[in-house]
Amino acid sequence: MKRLLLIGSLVAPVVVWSSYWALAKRISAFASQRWGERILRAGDGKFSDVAVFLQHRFYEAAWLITVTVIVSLGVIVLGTLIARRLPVLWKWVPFSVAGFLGVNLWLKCAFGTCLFWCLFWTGKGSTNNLTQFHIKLLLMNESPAPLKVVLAGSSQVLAQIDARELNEHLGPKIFTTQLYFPGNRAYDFLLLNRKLEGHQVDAILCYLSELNFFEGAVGEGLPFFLTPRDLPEFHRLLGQWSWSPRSMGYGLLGDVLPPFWIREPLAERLLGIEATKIRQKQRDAALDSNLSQRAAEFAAVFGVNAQSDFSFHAFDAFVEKCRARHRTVIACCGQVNPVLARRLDPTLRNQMRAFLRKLATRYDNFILLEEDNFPPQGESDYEDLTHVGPVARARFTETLEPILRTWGSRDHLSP
Amino acid sequence: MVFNSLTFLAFLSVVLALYYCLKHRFQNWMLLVASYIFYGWWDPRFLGLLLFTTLFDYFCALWIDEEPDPKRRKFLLASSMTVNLGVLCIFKYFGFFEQSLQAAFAHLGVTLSFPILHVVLPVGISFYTFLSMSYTIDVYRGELKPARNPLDFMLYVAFFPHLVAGPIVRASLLLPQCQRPRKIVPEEVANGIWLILMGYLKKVVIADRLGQITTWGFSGSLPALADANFWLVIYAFAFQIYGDFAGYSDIARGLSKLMGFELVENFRAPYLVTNPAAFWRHWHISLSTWLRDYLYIPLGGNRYGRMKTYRNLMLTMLLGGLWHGAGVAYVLWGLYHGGLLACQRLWNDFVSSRFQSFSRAEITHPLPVSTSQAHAVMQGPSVNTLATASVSLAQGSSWTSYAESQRESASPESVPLSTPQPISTPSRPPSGGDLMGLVKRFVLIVVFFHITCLGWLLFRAGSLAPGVDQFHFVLRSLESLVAWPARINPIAQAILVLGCVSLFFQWKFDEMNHFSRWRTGSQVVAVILALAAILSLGVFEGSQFIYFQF
Repeated sequence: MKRLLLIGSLVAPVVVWSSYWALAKRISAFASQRWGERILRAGDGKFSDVAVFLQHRFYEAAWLITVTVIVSLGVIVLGTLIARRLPVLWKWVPFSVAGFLGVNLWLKCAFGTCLFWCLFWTGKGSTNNLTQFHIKLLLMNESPAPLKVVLAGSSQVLAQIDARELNEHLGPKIFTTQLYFPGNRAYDFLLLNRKLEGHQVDAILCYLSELNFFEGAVGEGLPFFLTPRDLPEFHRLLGQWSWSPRSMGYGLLGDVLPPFWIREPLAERLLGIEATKIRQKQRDAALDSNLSQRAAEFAAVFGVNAQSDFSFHAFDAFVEKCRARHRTVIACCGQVNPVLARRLDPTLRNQMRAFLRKLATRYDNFILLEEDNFPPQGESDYEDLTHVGPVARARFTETLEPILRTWGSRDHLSP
Repeated sequence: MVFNSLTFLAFLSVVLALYYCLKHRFQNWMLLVASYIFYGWWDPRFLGLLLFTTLFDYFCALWIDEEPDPKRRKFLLASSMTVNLGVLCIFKYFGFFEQSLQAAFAHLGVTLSFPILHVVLPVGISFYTFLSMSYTIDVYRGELKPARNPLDFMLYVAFFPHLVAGPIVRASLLLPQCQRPRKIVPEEVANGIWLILMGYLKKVVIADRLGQITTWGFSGSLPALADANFWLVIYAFAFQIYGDFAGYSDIARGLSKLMGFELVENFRAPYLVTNPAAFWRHWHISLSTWLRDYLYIPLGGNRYGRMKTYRNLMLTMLLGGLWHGAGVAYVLWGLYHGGLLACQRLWNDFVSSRFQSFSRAEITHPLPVSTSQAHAVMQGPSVNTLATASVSLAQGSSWTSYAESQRESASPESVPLSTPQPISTPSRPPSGGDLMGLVKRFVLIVVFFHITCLGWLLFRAGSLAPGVDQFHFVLRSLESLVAWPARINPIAQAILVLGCVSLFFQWKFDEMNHFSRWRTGSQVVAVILALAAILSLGVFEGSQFIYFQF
C-alpha cells in the first residue's frame, strides 16, 4: 500500500503536467468558445481573453497538484526521519509538526495562484477584500497591456473610479485595476508598494483625502500586510513616538502562519459572510441615521497629531520607494462629502494640500491632480459621508480617462 | 488571566518549565504561588477572600476531625457553612435579595431602603466556595481525613486549572494528588495536549464565533433579526455555551494532565441525550453530582415518597439555578430543569409502568460499567484509580438511582458509594437496536434538544445586562420563535458547520479522552486540523469564558 502510494505520488505530477501540455490549450479554446461570454461577464473586466485565462488556471491547477505531492512526500520523509527514534506513543509529534509546516508551505505556494483565491470568491460585492486584492493583482499580471496602473486608496477610490469603464475606454495600451485594500491610511500605500514587488506596475493612482492622513495612523491593512521586513521602517517612521497596535501583532503572526493570515476569507467561505460580518453590521446599524449628526461624531476623530505626522512620513517614503522602482504616483487630491468637510478643521485640508504640493516639487515621479482637475462634487453626489454614487463615479472616471491617456503617451521612467 | 490569552500561554510555559525541574514539595509551592498569581492577575484584592475561605475551612476541618463531641462537630460544620455561604451571599446575592425584597414590599405598598452595596463579583467564587464546602462536609461525614499540611489544602482549592470555572473537584480526588508525588504518565501527557487543543478549538472557534451571532441575535437591535429564524439564534447559544464551558473544562483537564494531575470529566454528550436525568449526567457533571451528594440526598432524595421526591428535585435544581447567578431568570431556569426532572420521574412512576413499550430502558439505558473502570477501582487508591472512580461516579449514578441504592443499602445487592454505578450513555444506541429504535432515539434526541434550548433562553435572560427586562426578553424571544421566516437566514451556515463540529465532539467523547490510543495517522490529522482551525477560524479577542461570572 505504501509503495503504491509512493509510486502514485511520483507518477501523479508527471501525468498532470503531460495532460496540461497536451490538453490545456485545447480545452481552454473549447471552453472559451462555448462559455466565453458567460465567463467574461463573471470576470467583470478583470481579464479580456477567456482562453488565456483558462489556460493559466489549468497551469495553476497542475502546479498546485505538484506542490501537494512534493509537500506530502516531504512531510512523510521528514516525519519518518525524526519519528524513527521515538516510541510509538510520540510518533504523532514529528508527523504533526512536519504536517503543520507542510500546510503552511502549501498555503504560501497557493497564495500565488488565482485558482486558490477563486475558492474564496463569494460573489461580486461580497467577496472578502483580501481575496479580491489577490485575484485582481494576479489577473493584472496576465493582462497583455504594456502599461499597468493600480488604483489605490480607501474604499473611496472604489466609489470614485470605475476601473472596468476606464479599461474599456483606454484601449489595449493601459490596464487599470482596483487595489483599494489596503489603502485607507497613508501607511497602507507603503505596504501596498511592498506587496507589488515582483509585479509589473507602472503607476499607482491614489485617491487621497483627509481620511488618509488625519483619521489615524493605521487601518485595516496592517493585520494582513505587515511583515517582519516592514518593522525597521515602521519604527523609523514612528520616530520618537512609541506605538505598537494589536493589529501589528496580527500582521506579524499572519506572515509566519499562513492559516492565520487567511482567517477572514476562510471563515467567510466556511461559515458564511453574514455570520462573520456581524460586528461590522452592528457597527453600521449603530450609526446615526442623520448624516449631519454622524458627520459631527466622525469629525471628532480627525486631528493633527503624532499619527498624522506618521502618515505624512509614510506617504513620503512611499513616493520615494516608487521612484526607486520607476513607478509613477498619480495623486488625486480628493474630497469627502461637504457635510463632513464643513465639520472638519479647514487647516487639515490645507496641510494635506501643502504636503502633496511639496511632494510634487520634490519627486519627478509624482503627479498631483488638484481638485480643479475634477468636476465638483456636491452633497447630492454622495451616498454617505465619504462615498459618491454612480453618477459622480461616471463623471469622475470620464475626467480621469484623458489624464491617464496623456500619461500613457509620455515617456516613462524607464528601469 | 484567561486561558485564551497570550499572557496565559507565557505564564504556562514558565510554570511548566519550573514544574518539571522541581521536586514534589517545591512543585506544590510553585503551583500555589502560580495559582495565586493566576487569580490575582484579575484583581489582587480578592486573593484575600480566597485565602480567608481556604484557611477558615482548613482549620474548621481539622477541628471537626479532632472533636469527639457530635454537637460541637455540628457547630463547627455550621460555622464553616455559614462563613462560606455568607461570603457567597454578600458577594453574589446581596444585590439580588435586596432588589427582590424591595420589589416584594413595593407590591404591598411599603418602601424599603437598604444600604447600597456595589460589590464586585469575584471571579470563580461559586466554584471555590463549593469546593471548599464539600471538603468540610466530607470531613464531618467521616468520608475524608483532613489535610494536615495547609499547603496541600491551599493548593487543592487554588489549583489554577480549575480555580475559576471548575470542574468542582472533590477533595477525595484532588487532595491525595496534592499530597503525594505525582507521576508524569506519557500517555496522559499526550491526552492532555489533545484536550488542550480541543478545548481551545471549542472555545475560540465554536463558542466565540457563535458568540458573535448570539450577541447580535439576542440584542434585537438589527432589522435583520426579523428575518432570522430565532431558533437559529438559540441553537447558536446552545452550542456556544457548550463550547465555552466544555472547552474550559477540557483545557483545565489537559493542563492538569501535563502536571500529572487528574480532574473529573465535566461534559460528555449533553446534546445527544433523550431525557432530563441523562442531560444532568452529561452536563456540568461535577456540579450536578455536587448538588446530588450535598443537597438532594441530604434533603431526603427519593426516600420519603413521591411528593417529597418532586419537591427535592425542584428545590435542588432551583438552588442549582441560583448557583449560576443572582437573578430571577436563573431561578426559573433551575425550576424549569427541576420540573423536567420531576416530570420524568412522574413518567417513570406512572406512564412507563403502565405501557411497557415505553419501558424504563427507553428513558435510561443502563449499561454495565466498563471493565477498565471497574478494574481501576479495584486496584486501590492510586491517583489514577481515584480519578477513574470519581469519573465513574460522576458519570454513572443519577440522583434517582443513587438514592435508590441508598434506600436499598441494607440489601446484599446494595452498591457502595465508591463503586461505579451503571453508566447511562444515551448517546450510544441500545445494543442490538433496530432501525425503528434508532429513529425513535433520534427523534427523542431532537425533541429533548429543543426542550433544552428553551431552557437556555431563560439562562441567557439571566446573563442580560442590568436594567434589561428579563421577562420582556423571554416573551419577545418566545414570540420570535413562533414566527417562521420566509427564508433560511444566512447565519444558518455558520451554526450548521459549528454545531456539527460540536456534535461530533460529543458523539466521540470517549475517543476524545483517549488520544494516546488513536492510530498515528488519526492523531496527526486531528492535530493539524485542530491547529489550522484554531488559527484560521478562531476569534482572538481574549473574550472571557461565560462561566467566569458564576
